[in-house]
Amino acid sequence: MTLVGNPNVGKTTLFNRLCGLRAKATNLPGTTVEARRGSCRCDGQDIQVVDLPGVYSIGLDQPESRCAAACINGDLSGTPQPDVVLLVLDATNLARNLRIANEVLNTGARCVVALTMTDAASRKGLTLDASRIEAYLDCPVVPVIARNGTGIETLKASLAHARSTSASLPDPTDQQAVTQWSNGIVREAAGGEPGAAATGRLSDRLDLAFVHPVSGLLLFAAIMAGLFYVIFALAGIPMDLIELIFGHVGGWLSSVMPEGAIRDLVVDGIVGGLAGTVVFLPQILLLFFLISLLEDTGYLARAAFVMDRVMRRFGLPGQAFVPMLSAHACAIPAIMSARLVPDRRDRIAVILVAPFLSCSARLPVYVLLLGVLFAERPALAGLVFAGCYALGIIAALLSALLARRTLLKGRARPMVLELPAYRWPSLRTALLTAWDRGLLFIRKAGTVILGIVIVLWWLSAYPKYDASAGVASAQSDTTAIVETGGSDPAMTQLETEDAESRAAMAHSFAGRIGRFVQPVFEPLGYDWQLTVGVMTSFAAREVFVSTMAVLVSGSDDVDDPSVITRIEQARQDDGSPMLTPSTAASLLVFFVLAMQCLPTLAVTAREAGGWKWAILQLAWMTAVAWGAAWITRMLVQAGGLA
Amino acid sequence: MSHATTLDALTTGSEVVVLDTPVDDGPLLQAMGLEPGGRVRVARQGEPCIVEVNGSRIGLSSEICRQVQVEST
Repeated sequence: MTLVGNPNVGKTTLFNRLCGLRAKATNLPGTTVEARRGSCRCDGQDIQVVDLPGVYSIGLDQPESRCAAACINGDLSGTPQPDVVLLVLDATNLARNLRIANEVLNTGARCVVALTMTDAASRKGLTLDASRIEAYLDCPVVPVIARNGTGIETLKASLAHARSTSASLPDPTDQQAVTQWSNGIVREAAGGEPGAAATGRLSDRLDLAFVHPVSGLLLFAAIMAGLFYVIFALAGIPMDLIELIFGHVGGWLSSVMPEGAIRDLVVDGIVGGLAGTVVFLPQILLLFFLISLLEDTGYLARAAFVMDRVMRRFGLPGQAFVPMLSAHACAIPAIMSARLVPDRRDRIAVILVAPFLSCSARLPVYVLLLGVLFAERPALAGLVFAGCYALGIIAALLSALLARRTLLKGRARPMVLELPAYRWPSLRTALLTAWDRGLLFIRKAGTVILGIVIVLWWLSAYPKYDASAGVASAQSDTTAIVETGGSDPAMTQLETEDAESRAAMAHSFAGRIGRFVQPVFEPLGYDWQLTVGVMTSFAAREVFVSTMAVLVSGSDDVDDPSVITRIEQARQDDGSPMLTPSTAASLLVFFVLAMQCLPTLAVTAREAGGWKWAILQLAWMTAVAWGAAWITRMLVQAGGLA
Repeated sequence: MSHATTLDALTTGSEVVVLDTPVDDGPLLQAMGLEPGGRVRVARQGEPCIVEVNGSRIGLSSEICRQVQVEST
């Protein structure tokens, strides 16, 4: 079964009602259009359900529209022609929704109509007569309220009665005939003039405030800052809990497993690496939960226009808001969704700058470094956190402007976007969205990142360090620490072990690579350990934190220290702190701006049509990041901090 | 009395009939309900211009509004 309908008609809510947790977002095979697939239990058997993206027509020259048409006709490889097309029509806007119904019915597909938003329609004084609409369309019509589940069982039961229509329908290409036909149905069956269901004056006033050049921008900034503050303030509790649990699992495993290389791999490599990644899941879940709530209220469409006014000045089109917004989750789907942008030059500009925007993979790094910089000041941390996002946006916009002035001369296409009715957001939808994205992150973390973490653990653990050969250097390190750090004998014991494990790391493959490349990062203040972290995060940014965890995990004798504290307390070879305020600040700026994602480069090459774009993206972003990080370090040091 | 003009020239609150839509975005606008013969109300003028069509609201950049021919009644 396939769900088809206009955007903002409650299609996703209905899909969630039907499938619940048994669903996931995937790209339709051979395309970059994302659809959700799930299964729904109905009449004792499982039905496979595909939720296509909302489209205004299946005849438009747009990827989604072409995709929907191909899916209905069974032309999409890997997706069989649907037995039933569930047409989702918004009862409050029936005249327009009937157009797509007419298009789909004309294909001869076996259809059932779900009439959504019937509660809102009756509030607007429309009395819908489903049986009369049914007579016009010659297929089952079921009124539903997807939000509270009213009518869902009736809808399921009617799926068995899906049929190809034999009603006399207008030719979908004859606009006038279609309008006459749809208006006729609305007049007959909805008890109102087409267009009579005006939205309230309250919407007018809200719109005026939300898209206003000044108040709109202020509200946008306030809402985004509030969003990030909530994430920062609330995610701490589950994060602590996850760290605690992984700490116990690691401790338990090392007590039951025989000593040796396998135990080291499991406890230090796998459990340690997993902990360093999964711990940031709460933030990702919260972010998508809140974004879904915002989207549901109807605010995000208004925000698109607020942002359009800004983005247009930088040569980016209105449609770029969708890829730019989703780039805050991950640049890869964002670059793929840049196909929504019709003009090729517009599209390449969006693809080139999208990775500047702070993706969720950068979150763990931000959290770690902000923890170092503003340990006791969560409000300030929240502000700088929002600042990181702002810096990414500014870098993206300026780069876009530069590209439009040089390589991609031209201007952006004007924007057209429906502004959905304001409404109370659905908790259920938000929870399911968060679940969906969290699962996606876990799947990614479970494969690529874990693989990288294990390779890294191997690189940092081998070749094995012979302690007796390194005693001299370890002792000299210890002496230095004792001289600078006081005379507590217990601390000295710990510091000795610490120094030994650092010497072991310096001896390892990872240490050698880090030392070799370190001069490049010397002006930014990074020692070899941070350099190894930066280099390994090229495969995926979130790896930085787990790399650092593995690199500095020598000192785990201290009562089960959390991943973050371990990294915060790590020291350079000379005993000075690894992360000083100036280093942490420059590292933060570097991570905001650097192109450190191998998979993204591959996608850029494919979507922009050539490796030259990917190489340009890599070179430009790295240069900008290095320069900005250097300036940041200089500024912080000029401000009197080490 | 009626006269033809473009959408961007109207004041907030005016109700008009669409005569013609721009070539580039015409199919999309028509699928969204902004079609010749359809009635629209201007809910906000400026950038963006917000129009109400059949009970749904559509935001349009002023550049598009300049290309939408309408007839005020």
